[in-house]
Amino acid sequence: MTVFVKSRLSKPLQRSLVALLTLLAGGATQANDWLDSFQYQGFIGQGYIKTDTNNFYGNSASGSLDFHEIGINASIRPLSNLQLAGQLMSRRAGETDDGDIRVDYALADLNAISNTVSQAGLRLGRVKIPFGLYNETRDVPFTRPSIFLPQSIYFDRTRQLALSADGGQIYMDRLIDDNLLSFQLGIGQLQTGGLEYAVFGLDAPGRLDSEVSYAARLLFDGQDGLTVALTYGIADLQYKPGSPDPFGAGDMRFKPLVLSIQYDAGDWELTSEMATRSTRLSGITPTETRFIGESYYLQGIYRFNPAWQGLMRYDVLYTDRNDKDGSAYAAATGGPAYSRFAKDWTVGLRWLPHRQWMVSGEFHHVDGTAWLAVPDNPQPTERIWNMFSAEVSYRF
Amino acid sequence: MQQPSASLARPAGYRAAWLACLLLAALIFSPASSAQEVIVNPDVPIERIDKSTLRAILSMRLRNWDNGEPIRVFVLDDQHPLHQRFTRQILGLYPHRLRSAWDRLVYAGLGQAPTQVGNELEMRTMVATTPGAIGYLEKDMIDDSVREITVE
Repeated sequence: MTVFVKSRLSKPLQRSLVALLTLLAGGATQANDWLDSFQYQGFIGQGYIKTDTNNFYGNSASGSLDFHEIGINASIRPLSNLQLAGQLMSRRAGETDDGDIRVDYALADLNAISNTVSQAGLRLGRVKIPFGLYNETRDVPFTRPSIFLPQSIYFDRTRQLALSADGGQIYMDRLIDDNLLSFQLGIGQLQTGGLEYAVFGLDAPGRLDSEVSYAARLLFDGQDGLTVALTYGIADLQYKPGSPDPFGAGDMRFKPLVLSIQYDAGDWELTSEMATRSTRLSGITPTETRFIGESYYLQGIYRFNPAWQGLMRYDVLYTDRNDKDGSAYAAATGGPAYSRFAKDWTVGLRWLPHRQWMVSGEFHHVDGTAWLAVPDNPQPTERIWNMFSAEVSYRF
Repeated sequence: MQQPSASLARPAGYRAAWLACLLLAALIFSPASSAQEVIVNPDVPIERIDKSTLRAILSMRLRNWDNGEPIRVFVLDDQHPLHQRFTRQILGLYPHRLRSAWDRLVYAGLGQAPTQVGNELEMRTMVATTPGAIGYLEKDMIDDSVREITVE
């Protein structure tokens, strides 16, 4: 329940929502129209994971069913320039997600400009973070290319930071010739529950809290199937130590930059995303810690027919681009060098027997453990490991 | 008598084959848009629409007509032959791409999905009775209750 309590909307936000609701009451003359605009959607996914050595999403070495994702959302357009939308989620994933119900997003979307060429406006509330191609719907099985998103870009172990922010987002969409150019800039507070473990590798006694953080994405959606996006974000966190605490009070700044390219030719689709992530910890550790991570993946999808598709992907993560093989890290800390990189070969198959059903299966062969969650792996890890997973999903 | 009729039959057979080929070619190369048309509610203040705007509307990226009235989009099931033909031939998009565009809006709280109707009759009724509505129909299903618009 703690997660739910932490996810309460801030006071100013509550006030603006109340103001908006009052505004709504004024527009009640259009009663029929706006009630007609109400809609809801939902999904349920249950996964199975089996690894040979290391654990991912639960105790997967002995076969784990500790992975489900359930969500329901609703939206309504009470006025032609106002949309309200919200989504509740429950997600269980081993030790990294406990299945508690949380507010995934809850927002008021105020449309300032809207015509048949462009639109622009402001979203207020808890807003999904625009990041790369898949982040905003990362927990919705039908919108992902595979059961697990490429972990080098879409880490699940520090996923809270990437989910949604409490604040505001400016958006602009414009048709240019046959292409859509879209820009989003979000400002707000990130979710940080349980992040200490992922950042410090142990359950630190203090708390990491979010300061005001930013994310911006420029996306070009070409109608010939080409999509190109550039994302930049600045996440500022503050650490308040407990007592006693091996770590001191200080700041953490995380700056990801992602380039995304996708080409969809109908039967096949090629996707690649490349990122650098700079991390700086000051005050928390005795000496300032700085490193730049690097990651990329190349993914191909082939649609045999509307019901069957195959996937192949190579995904690479280096925690520190100046120490790709982790040898400097191993020498300095005694930790395994292979915990600083991960190279993941994935092959997957997907079956869509019906519009509402999907069955996915995939196999991963991984060299390195850089994106494995520490809480799932209290035991010593292995450098080379394999994983099979399957998921059945239903939507309504 | 046999001889002349056989000599006549031969050219006639060629003619028939040629005609058949021409017909087939006409079927294959005729503008696909002649089979299905974009329709709107009679109150929608446009006569023609360009392809990119139509794509943006069907992708649910545009919310209002130029007069400020909300756009209401109606579609048939993804697997419906008319939906498939409409998305491929008129929009130049694959149905899976349209579906993925809707999913990305809906599950991120950024937009709404179009309203799905069960059949073409329902499509005509809904577009006819919903202000700001846009949809598509086979040419021979169109009557006075809806307005056909030209795609450029």
